[in-house]
Amino acid sequence: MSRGSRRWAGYLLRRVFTSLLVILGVVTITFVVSRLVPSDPASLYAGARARPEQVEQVRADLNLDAPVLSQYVGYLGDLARGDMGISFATKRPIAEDLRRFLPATLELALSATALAVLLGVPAGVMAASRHRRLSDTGIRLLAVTGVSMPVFWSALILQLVFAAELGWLPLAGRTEATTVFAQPTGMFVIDSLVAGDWGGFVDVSRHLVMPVVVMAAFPLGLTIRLVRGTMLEVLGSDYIEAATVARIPRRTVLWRLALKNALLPALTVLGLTFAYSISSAFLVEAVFGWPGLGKYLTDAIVRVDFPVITAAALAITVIYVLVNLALDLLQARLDPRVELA
Amino acid sequence: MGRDDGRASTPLLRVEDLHVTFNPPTGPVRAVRGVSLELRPGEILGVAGESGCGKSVLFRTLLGLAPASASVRGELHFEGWPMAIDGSLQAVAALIQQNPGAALNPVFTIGQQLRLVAGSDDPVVLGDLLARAGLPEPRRLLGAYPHEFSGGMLQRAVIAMALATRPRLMIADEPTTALDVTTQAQVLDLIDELRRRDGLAVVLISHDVGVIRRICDRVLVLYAGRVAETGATGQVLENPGHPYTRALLAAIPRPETAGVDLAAIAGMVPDGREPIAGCAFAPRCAHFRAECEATIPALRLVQSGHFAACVLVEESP
Amino acid sequence: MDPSDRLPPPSRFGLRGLPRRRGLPGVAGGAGGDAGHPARRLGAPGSSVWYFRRSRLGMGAAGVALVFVVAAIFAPWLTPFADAGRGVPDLSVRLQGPDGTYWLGTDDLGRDMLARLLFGARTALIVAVGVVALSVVIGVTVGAVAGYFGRWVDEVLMRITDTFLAFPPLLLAVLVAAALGASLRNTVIAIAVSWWPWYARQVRAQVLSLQRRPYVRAVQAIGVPSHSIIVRHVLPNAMAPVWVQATADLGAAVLTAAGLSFVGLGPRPPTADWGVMIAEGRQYVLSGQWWIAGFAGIAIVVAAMSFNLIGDVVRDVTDPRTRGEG
Repeated sequence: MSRGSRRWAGYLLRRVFTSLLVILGVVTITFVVSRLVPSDPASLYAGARARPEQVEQVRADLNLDAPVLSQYVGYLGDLARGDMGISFATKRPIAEDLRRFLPATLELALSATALAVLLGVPAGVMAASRHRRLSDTGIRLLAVTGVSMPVFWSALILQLVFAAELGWLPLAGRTEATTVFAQPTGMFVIDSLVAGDWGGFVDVSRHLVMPVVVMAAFPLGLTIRLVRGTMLEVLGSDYIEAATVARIPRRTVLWRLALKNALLPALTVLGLTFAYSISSAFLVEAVFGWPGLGKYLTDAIVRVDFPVITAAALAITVIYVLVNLALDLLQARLDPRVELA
Repeated sequence: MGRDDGRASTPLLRVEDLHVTFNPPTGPVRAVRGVSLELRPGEILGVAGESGCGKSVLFRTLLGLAPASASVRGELHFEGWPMAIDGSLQAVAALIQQNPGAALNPVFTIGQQLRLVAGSDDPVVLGDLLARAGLPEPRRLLGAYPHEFSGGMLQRAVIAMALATRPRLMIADEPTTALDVTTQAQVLDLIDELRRRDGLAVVLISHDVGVIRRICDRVLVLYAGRVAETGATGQVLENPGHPYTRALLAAIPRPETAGVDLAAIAGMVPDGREPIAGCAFAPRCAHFRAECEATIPALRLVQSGHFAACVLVEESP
Repeated sequence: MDPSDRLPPPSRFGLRGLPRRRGLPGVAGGAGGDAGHPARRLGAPGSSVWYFRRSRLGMGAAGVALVFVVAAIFAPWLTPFADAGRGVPDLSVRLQGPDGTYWLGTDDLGRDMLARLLFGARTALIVAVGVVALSVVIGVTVGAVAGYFGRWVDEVLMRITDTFLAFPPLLLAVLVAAALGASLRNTVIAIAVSWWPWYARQVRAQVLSLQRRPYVRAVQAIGVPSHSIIVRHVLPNAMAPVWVQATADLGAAVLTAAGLSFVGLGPRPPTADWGVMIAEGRQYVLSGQWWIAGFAGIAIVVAAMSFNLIGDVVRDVTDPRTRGEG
């Protein structure tokens, strides 16, 4: 047993280490990309009406006249201290902004991931078990539609139908102006429940519906296709055949036996689903005026606010790397076949 | 040589004129073209033939494993009672697959899988099943995952799983092909022991005549989806009536043929797409004559209980 | 080895690299599928092409994709409003609804929407083909070199590949497009930068398995130089799954490019671009002029869906296990 846990600890350390390496690589790539900017960051920062000597002053302040390598080291050092620089446009520290906007995006991305997985896994299993029949074709078409719809377009359609025409759901935003409650986590669903504000919870949920549905469409299609594919593979295997001959009920074979085989490798789908949710955030949030990282990013794109673009991309990527790390560790724990060595 | 005393009793299993045709988009494939056979209680029936001759398809169809698009025709009697031909055998038969490594679910422990099949949570019952399949320390093995087992142990676990369904007969599809020679012998001995101790009837599908010679009472040789020859193992192997059986036997290495080139059978098994007018083996047969192409040869009596589907049979009594 | 090495990377839209299973004995096309019949005539019964042509879904999607390509190539000759398609405004007919003259209406600068959509198809096709071609070239090169030379070369190249894969999809493209500035060329570069790693991993896996084949061993033994072995003997056999993926990715490229355009990182006006049309038509949707964003969106969905479906069906017919669907 202790040998097992020692091996586990070794595996854990190694995975954490490789994840740190990947994050370092990601930071390096964002740094390199940020040096590709054709326009001069110092004059951008100083503003359009700045005199040349002001621009030079800014260049010195921002350490932009140093050699690239020392800029890189400085950048790493700043990041390690949690300093992500200052926005060209608002002159506010970016790290603070990120902290403020992150919960809104996480709330959206986690809800969308949950919706995609909760609907996608059963749909994928059903499609595989009715292989080549009408419902299989129907589910497949649904999945292909999901991965072929531009999110910003389906968002517009939902807004047109459910907000403008039918008036069932609010057009945009996170809450009505009249809704007020304490926001310790920044995820309003949780905050409103903690505050015991039922009306607030309903309001928050109504605002969540459209962005979450739009955001979930693509990962839902992805989940269905992945689960269907793995399920077909598993259902064609000898051990499922053996279970069938042993007259284990079809329901048990599908939902207890085969699903576990299919889901262990498909745990990656969870990471991928989350990835697609969070990376379509900038499109969805732009349409729904959702004050999250994505909107922060698109606003920065419009203003060519490069430090913000870099920092937001970096923050989202690091979250994604950590989610993948967690999923890998979970999979290693759950799958008896994984060799930790 | 035959282990039963030859008394006529109700056969455990009787299949009559079974036809299986696959219908892939590329056009129909006639995999089994009219096979009749009998299996007596406590008997081990060997089913031999090259790959593609229909021997697996035949029994997999009876177990309900034919694809939904396949057309199946024929009669099945179990202990004299008529049953649905395509799958009702599941209720009384167990299947041992070729590759024990793939036959067990990799993400559940042996105990979890055995429990589902046996419908019992009692570790004594489950342990007993493993013990009957000749696994040592059965209680400890219940918590193990398949990947922790060796090939021989896996095949024993698969057999334990088969026993858990309390089968009346066991269909073993190439049960030893994936195993090394020593383990092969042990698994065959186990099957033989289950037959003697529990009275289990066994269908042993194998392309390996040596395996069949070792434990089978009777043998059925299939060629291109039809019975080429059938009879007691000794009769068929010592005095084969069909040129195909002779060719099969010539293709296995034996001490007395050491140093002699083995006779591979020229040509290929017909794949069931083209219609076959006469004897399916005719194009590959060394004793080919005109009448072979005219009609499908019926099974002819070689000696008591031993039949071969070849026009040569009457000429060499 | 981290777990990502155990499993093939899931593709952006489906599962790739699934091991093939042997078929039921006697059923057509057992293990190996077409790989075992390299000499088979194209389109012969039982071949992948034959199965694809039998698939109504696949042929329908291929037909739609063909219409898209034809529309893109012949855009100027397919409409009387070619100048509007190129971007020339006519403010006298702003925001006209669909009628006999302007079948799909006009946009806020009075340009015929059908003409704009046809010219937008050109942009979409250029971006899609450009992105996929560039990604394939980079990815195949990196993957082949890593897989063939192995050891530290493989280790270094795959670490770099994994780092690129660590970015959530779209995000790296946004970052690069924002850095390079908005233009058609930069859109292509930005998306390709984030896509090549998928091809690199796929080709590497193929090369690793092909390398153990006797014929590669044989040419190695007689001293054929490495680059020649890779180019002549290994790559031709490793490319089949790459082409399948590339076809399916054309749809994803259209979709991704539209996303970049929507946030202002696409081609500049007056270039006709579907994503830009949605962004610009957005403000008119709620006031009743739905046709600008509406038709542009339909164009994107139809184009993306046809390529995605082709990819889906091709994946099915090249896998003996799932043949004959649709």
